[in-house]
Amino acid sequence: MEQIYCTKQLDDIYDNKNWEEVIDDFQTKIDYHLYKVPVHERDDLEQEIKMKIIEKLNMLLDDKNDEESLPSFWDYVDCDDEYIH
Amino acid sequence: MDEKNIIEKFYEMNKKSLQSGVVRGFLSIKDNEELLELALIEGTEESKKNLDDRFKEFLLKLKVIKYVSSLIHYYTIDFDKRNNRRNSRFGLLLDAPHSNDTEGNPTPIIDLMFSSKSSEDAYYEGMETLGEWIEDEELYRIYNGLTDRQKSVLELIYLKGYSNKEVAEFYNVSPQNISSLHKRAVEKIRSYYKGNNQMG
Repeated sequence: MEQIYCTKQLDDIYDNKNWEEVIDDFQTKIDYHLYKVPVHERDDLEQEIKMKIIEKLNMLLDDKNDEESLPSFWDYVDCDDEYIH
Repeated sequence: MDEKNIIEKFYEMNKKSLQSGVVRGFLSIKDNEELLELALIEGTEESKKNLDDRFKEFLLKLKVIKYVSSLIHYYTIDFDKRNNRRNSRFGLLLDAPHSNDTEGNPTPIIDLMFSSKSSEDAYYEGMETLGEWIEDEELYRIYNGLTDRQKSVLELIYLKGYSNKEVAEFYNVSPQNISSLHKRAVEKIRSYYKGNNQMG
């Protein structure tokens, strides 16, 4: 699922606020969890989850602006510049 | 040192960190691996920044996936809890007074709901059956082929939204019994529906 998701342009989704696509990506997971509640509650729950996802994605979108807080790739690896070059 | 050596050296030096989940996931995408090799060979700020931008984008996506996944998980639990709480607090008030009988004593609602017949008879009286809800002809035929017990268990679960436990209490049998009845009925429907088998 992560692989599928990563091939999409997140920026695109964010910029166009194309929430349906994001929600579609998670539909399988939502369906799986819907089975945990009684049949007649499922529609309500599905709708509430989707509303919540949109709300929270908006929040994460704001976070995106302080991208500086994300670690850099070079933080994860040692790269001895002098040796290589 | 030629290009291949640089890359090999890099992999050698970072064996451990390249095994870690995030970095490994990131490099498992072919484009990203190529970007890394480019950055190592060229060594320019620009190529490093390209890689870094891609990496941050990747982290952000992971963050979103992680966040939404746990959101769905915990929201479902929370929703279920909330519903159970509401249902237990605001149950149907069957013993609330409805009207006064001839002697002026209050009559609870529940007394007005059941006749002298057994509760099971009263339950079925005038009740819509699950069969009435089925639009698909084939499904209807299969449904009618089920035993009466199976039909009524399906009815209670899907039409009335009873849990296994509640159905079990209704029939005075064990919940496991209901669970297997339910399972067998659904399996039977599934195996005949859209299959080549004919109902016996």
